[in-house]
Amino acid sequence: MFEGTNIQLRGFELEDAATIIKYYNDLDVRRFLDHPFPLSLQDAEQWIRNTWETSKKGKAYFFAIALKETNQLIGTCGLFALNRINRKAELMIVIYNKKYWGKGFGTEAIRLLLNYGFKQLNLNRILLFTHDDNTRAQHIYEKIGFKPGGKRRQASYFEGAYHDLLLYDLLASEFQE
Amino acid sequence: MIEGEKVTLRGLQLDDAGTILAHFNDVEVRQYLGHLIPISKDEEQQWIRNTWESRQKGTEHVFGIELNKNQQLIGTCSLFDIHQINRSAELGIAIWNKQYWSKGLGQEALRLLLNYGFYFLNLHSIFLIVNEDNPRAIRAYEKVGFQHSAHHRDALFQNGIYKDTILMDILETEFQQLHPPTLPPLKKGE
Repeated sequence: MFEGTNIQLRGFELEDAATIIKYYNDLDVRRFLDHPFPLSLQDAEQWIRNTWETSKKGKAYFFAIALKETNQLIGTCGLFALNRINRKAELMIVIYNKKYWGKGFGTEAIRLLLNYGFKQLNLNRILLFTHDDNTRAQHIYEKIGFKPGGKRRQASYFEGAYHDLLLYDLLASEFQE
Repeated sequence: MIEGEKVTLRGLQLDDAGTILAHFNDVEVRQYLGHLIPISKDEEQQWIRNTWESRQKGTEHVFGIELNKNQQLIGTCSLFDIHQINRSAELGIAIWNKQYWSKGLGQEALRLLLNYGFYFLNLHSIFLIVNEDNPRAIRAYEKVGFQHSAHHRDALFQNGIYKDTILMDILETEFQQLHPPTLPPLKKGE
């Protein structure tokens, strides 16, 4: 359990599946994540089981973002595509309960996750790709200290158009707790 | 079989493993390709089998690069991580027979592979990752139309230091301008 001021990162329980599908099937939430496809309860449960497997193998670490006071699940974040030799990983985060957007909870979760990646997993570099349209996320990443590294042009297709994927990265030497 | 002037792209067969191994364990060759882990012949044959599987699944198309003048296998190239909705793919190429470096053969193979990706697989964008300290490769990619789009800092740990890599990409519209699709002339009776 990694505790911040307002939120905590914890492991997933199977019962989180119901909360996940409730929010995850919302297109506002899904549009920047993946290709919208209705997710079933069993899908989400299977995904949760997979998070247990991948962390055991050291391939990816996914956490539930929960409110500290009530333990209510509001999002997911994780480090994946871990490469042990290059000591790098890719970061993902989503606050899928829209009620909690714009409150700094995502920023807090990313800081906890970076701390885990750099201080516990001994990573040297953490990178991420974000959609060109997702300016709110870009602002947060820059505020935290991620450096823009360019883009993959027109690499993602959603809602009828091709979009650039913007690259951001952060090195252990640049990370301020 | 995708034939060019000097090289042809063809499927890999199990007896290619020996040829690949003879060159692939060379540190000078491998330094640009990934990690310096010696590979075995059985492993290489397994990899060749995997290329058949992934092609059937549509996730990856791997080719051997063969010299037209003597049918010698001098390298491999591929389109992988093919994404059906984004119509995107990553490209990889290696001329692992050093004797044939700097002769424009890689460039021709690249053009054939891009032609295949854009005109046969109907891709929209193709990207690649190249070591910053491999100017020969970067030049070849620029010549066939790739442009620098992103920079990965400290992306690769090799020989005791972290190295940067460069992401280069090309769009179907850009390739079409450089190399418009051409249909082979119809033969009589077809």
